[in-house]
Amino acid sequence: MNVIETKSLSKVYPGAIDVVALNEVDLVIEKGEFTAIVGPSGSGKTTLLNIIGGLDSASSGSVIVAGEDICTMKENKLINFRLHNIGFVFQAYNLIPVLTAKENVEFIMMMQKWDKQKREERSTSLLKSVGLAEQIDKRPMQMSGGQQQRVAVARALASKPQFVLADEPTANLDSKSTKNLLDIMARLNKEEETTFVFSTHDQRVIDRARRVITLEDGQIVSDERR
Amino acid sequence: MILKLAWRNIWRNKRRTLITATMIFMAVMLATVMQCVQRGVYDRNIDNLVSYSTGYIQVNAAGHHEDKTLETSVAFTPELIEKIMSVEGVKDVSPKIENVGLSATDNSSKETLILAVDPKREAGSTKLDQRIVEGRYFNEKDNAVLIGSGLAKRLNVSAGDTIVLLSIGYQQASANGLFPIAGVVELASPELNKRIMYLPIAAAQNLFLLGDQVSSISVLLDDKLEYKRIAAEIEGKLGEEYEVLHWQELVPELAQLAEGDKTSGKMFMLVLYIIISFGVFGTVLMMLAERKREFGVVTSIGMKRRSLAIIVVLENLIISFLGAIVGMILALPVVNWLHTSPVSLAGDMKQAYEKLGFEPVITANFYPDVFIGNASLVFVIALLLSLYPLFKISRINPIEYLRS
Repeated sequence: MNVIETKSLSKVYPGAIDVVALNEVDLVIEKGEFTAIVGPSGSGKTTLLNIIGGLDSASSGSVIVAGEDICTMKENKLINFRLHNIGFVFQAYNLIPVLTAKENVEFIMMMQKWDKQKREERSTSLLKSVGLAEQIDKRPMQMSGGQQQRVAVARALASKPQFVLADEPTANLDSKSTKNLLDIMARLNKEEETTFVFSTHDQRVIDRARRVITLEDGQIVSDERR
Repeated sequence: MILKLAWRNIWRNKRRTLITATMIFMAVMLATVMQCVQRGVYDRNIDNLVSYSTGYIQVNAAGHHEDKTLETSVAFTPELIEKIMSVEGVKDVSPKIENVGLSATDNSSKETLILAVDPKREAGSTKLDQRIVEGRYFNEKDNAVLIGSGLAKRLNVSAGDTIVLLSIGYQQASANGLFPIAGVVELASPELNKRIMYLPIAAAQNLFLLGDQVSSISVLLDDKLEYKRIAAEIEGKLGEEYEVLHWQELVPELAQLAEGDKTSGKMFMLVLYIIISFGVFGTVLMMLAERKREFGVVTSIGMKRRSLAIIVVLENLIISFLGAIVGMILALPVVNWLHTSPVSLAGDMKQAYEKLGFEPVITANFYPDVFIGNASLVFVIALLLSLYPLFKISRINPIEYLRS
């Protein structure tokens, strides 16, 4: 089952000299994949992730997520679509600093109007599954970078999204935290069939991916399945 | 969750929140105290002047306000009293005879405002009996006068002395008499003190050949602030042979003075609140700059802009609310202190006040509308200042905000 499908996806940043960030990208990502998008800086990895995630608009082409073309959606519908279908993990964790780990995870479910009991059950279970059962009442400032990123993964999974987009999720982590995080994501991918799509430079992430898509100058130059 | 987020966001930067709230509470306190003092001083002086002379509402024979002679006098009849008393908010009525004349001793004479009153009613309404500083209060049957302390000083007389009163009575008849001074009264208004002489109403009717007529009827009110409504209602009940005037029509120069001072006060408030608005706006700008990335994150993960906007507006309102409440609470003891212990002025300030005919004191009254008005104004400012973050939030580009 296709979770993401791009057709002739292009992105051009206009200027004195137009910059082509993505050039006619055709890509299909299926449910349960654990995919790394790699490539040198400026190859279009982040742009591709942003467009797939509905954060940026395409210059041409389409992005079909869960059967809907998100390129044609109006802003408010797109925000709602992101809320219900896409989980995000950012390089700098980006947790809400005034909320505890548990509240950060519950935040998404609250916006989806889950009832309190279900929210509490799911947030506790997710934090437990990322190894933070003891940290649920701590605020981001009281946690290490690795712990914060694990909370971010739990938050991304909270609403049971179609897929999780992770932009350089290990860039700020040490080796131990990186391994820990990758183990958790791999387990969640396997146990819950959650689809993960990373953009990364990190060889440790590339080594764990089951599919590696390489971009260069906005085009897919290789697509390796393992 | 929205309220929780707003509340916690406020305390992310405690120092900034406290500085902003302090700025607001200082403004609210300063504005509230200032307005309560300004209105308090005016109300006290209006009360001083109006209560002891014209009254807040006066019922006259038609044309008396223009003519001001005894020819336009009015009969103080039970029917008239009943009609006036039937209006809601009227506490009592008090007949008065106003005239001008000359009070003289062997050595000097001074222009005098003669005010004849019903001693009993006057004692009940204006507590004139408590203003006696020398001698005694008079009664209905007395053929004696009470004299303002300023006038007594100018004439160099005291209680027990006799004074000559020269005036014009009804139908231009000569009205002269010798009156013993029963007592000396010290009124708060320096202007009245210098000129006033009180007579019992019967003695004045006799002196001016007025029979049972009086020159005007003062209406005493339960609530002085209701003078306009009550005046209009009394006017509606009486026929065209009467005129009903409230104090602003009777002493327009005082009303204009108060109004002019209010305008200058409003200008000061405007400047004060503009300064405060810039202060709060600075906080809003800093908050927006600091949280740009966070706004990008929450909108990326699916938070509606409307919800984000509500949080930001709530933060502004909560800080303003805290500042306004503290400002109101701290203004209370200051206003109370000035209300219960008016500060007497000295030197140039005293002279300046007396020149205006004002009692030289700084006092304050409680005006709920001033307290509520200032707090509401802060809310309106906070809401207006929230328009900028609302505008910014409506244009959030998640990518740009995430990169910041």
